[in-house]
Amino acid sequence: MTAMDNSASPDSTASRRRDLAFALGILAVCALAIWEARKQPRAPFDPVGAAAVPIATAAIMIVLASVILVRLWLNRSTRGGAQSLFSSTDAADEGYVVRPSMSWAAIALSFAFAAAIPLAGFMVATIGFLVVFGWVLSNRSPRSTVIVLAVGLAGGVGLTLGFRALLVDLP
Amino acid sequence: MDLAQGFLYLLQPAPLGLLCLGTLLGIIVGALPGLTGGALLALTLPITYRMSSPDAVTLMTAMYVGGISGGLITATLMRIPGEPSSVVTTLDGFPMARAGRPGRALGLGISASLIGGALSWVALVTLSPLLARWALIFGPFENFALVLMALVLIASLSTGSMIKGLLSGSLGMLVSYPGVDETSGQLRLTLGLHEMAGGFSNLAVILGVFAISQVLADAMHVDQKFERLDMGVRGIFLSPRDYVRQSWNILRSAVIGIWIGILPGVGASISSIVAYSTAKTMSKTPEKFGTGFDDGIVASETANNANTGGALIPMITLGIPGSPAASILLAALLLHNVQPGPTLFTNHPDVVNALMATHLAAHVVMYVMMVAGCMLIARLMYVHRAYILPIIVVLCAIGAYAENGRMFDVGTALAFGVVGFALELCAVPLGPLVIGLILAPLAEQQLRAGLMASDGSLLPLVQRPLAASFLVVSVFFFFWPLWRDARRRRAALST
Repeated sequence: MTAMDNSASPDSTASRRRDLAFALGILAVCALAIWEARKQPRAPFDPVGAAAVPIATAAIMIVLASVILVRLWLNRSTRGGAQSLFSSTDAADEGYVVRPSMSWAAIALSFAFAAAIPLAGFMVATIGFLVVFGWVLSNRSPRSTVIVLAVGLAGGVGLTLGFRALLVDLP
Repeated sequence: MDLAQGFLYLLQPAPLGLLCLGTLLGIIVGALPGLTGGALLALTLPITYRMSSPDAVTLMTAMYVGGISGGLITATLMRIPGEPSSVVTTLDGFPMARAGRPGRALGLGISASLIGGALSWVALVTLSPLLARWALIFGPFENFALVLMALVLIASLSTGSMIKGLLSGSLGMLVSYPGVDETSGQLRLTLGLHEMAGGFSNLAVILGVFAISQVLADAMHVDQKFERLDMGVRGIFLSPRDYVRQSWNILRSAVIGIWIGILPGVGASISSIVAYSTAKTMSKTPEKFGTGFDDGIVASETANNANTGGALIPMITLGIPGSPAASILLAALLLHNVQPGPTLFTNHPDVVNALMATHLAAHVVMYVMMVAGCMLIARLMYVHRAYILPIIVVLCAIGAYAENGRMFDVGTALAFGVVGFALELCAVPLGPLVIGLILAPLAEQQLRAGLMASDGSLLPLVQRPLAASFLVVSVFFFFWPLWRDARRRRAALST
């Protein structure tokens, strides 16, 4: 495999932990898939059945995840995929602090937004989400707060009316 | 409707408006690092539900072209590639811009993008009908072996870990299984949840993986500041001598871009990297690369735009996307009940012609818009992310909900956003996941149809010449990275 470039140098602890978490996560998902697929009744006319392909896929994944675990055990590298879908910002100015807490805040607020839609309605939930999330991400100066409020109001009302005009169903 | 009618169709007010709008939005989003062209395509899908298929294809193809092209603006002016495919452009574009020639750097990139796109359009219109005619002879085993080959190629050719690439593609396949099994009509992998009876919505998963995960990643970098350069456009128009001097570089890079585009699942980023490396290797002055050299910008931008036409060829003729972004175009066609594949040319010629005409026209519109407005678009970079990222999440929620009217899909999009973000942190490529998700139902359907016809025997997979050839190629590409890495290790040890 490409990953089988057995670089002698051990991975950093962080990347080894991530690889371990990834492999274990894959094993858990596969175990769940196989457990669920084994409940599947056989269809009389179908030589393969609805369960075979998911089980085969999960089995292959278990083998691959096990290779990662073995490589970790042998202290060998499993190189990362460089073909990222994300647009890179690595090359930009490095004079700023990376704040992982913002990602956690984004996750929590996004799920809260989804939960609030059935309770408060789409427009109100959207305005609230845009204002709160925007404020959390901003530098929280009075100027930013005013802009965030304006963007939230305009965005919430504009998106609601705009998508209704386009006959798109809204949550 | 033949190809000429495709262009005539684009001259009507509504398609023309969609062409211009799609290209402009694609350029803007391509220029902004917070969102990729693929995410824009996913976000746009719900708006196209009520459009005719040719209109939807026009809008989305224009966005695809615009998205690939827009990345060069910020890559050149700010050393921030708006799209992953523009990463290599920063190597020479930014030094040239910083040396006081931003107009020339942009001019080289924009012109190379136009010519690369136009050359790939020639490949698209000439190769697609031939390939489609050839694919008509495929049976279920050939189709299955072809999809298998595509999945192995995706994992094998993406740089980095092949194991992780394969796992990502397999995970995408696993995600596609829950819901109603189309062959037997049985429910499967629903975990007893009635919401899972419809399975995971492809669109919701794509929105999560392409857009939400990017928002989560960008939120960490919210304090990032961008370097401002003096933004003059002097030199943006190239002289005929420039074109003549770059002609061989353009042609070679376009062929590389088209070829890599045709390979299933390998996106524009790889095209530009390979074209740049090739240009550097074959150059008489390789030391100039990376210092603001014309050839570097031209190679990278020609190849990534040439990739667009190449990626569309297997998508429309075989139903296999040539890049992650093309997989969203494929999903869009499926949502419009248009089945890509060899019969597309006879069943939906209007869609094929609209797509082909738009691919070329969007490159021309892109050229005009970028030459006229690149500096204005670059200024959008300074809009603080605090105002943009929340809106992207809301758009994702709308997009996920609109397909089936289920809040479950909104949750799916958010959950897969977290999954995508976690996978990126683990250095797992996300492209194979999306392509596995789209291709798995096709692979399973074809395999089971073949097995029913052969009374459960897999022998036709090796007995039928085409199916066997695809399998051989799959095996080759599975083991080739092993052999390559072993050779590198031996070389490293011997030195």
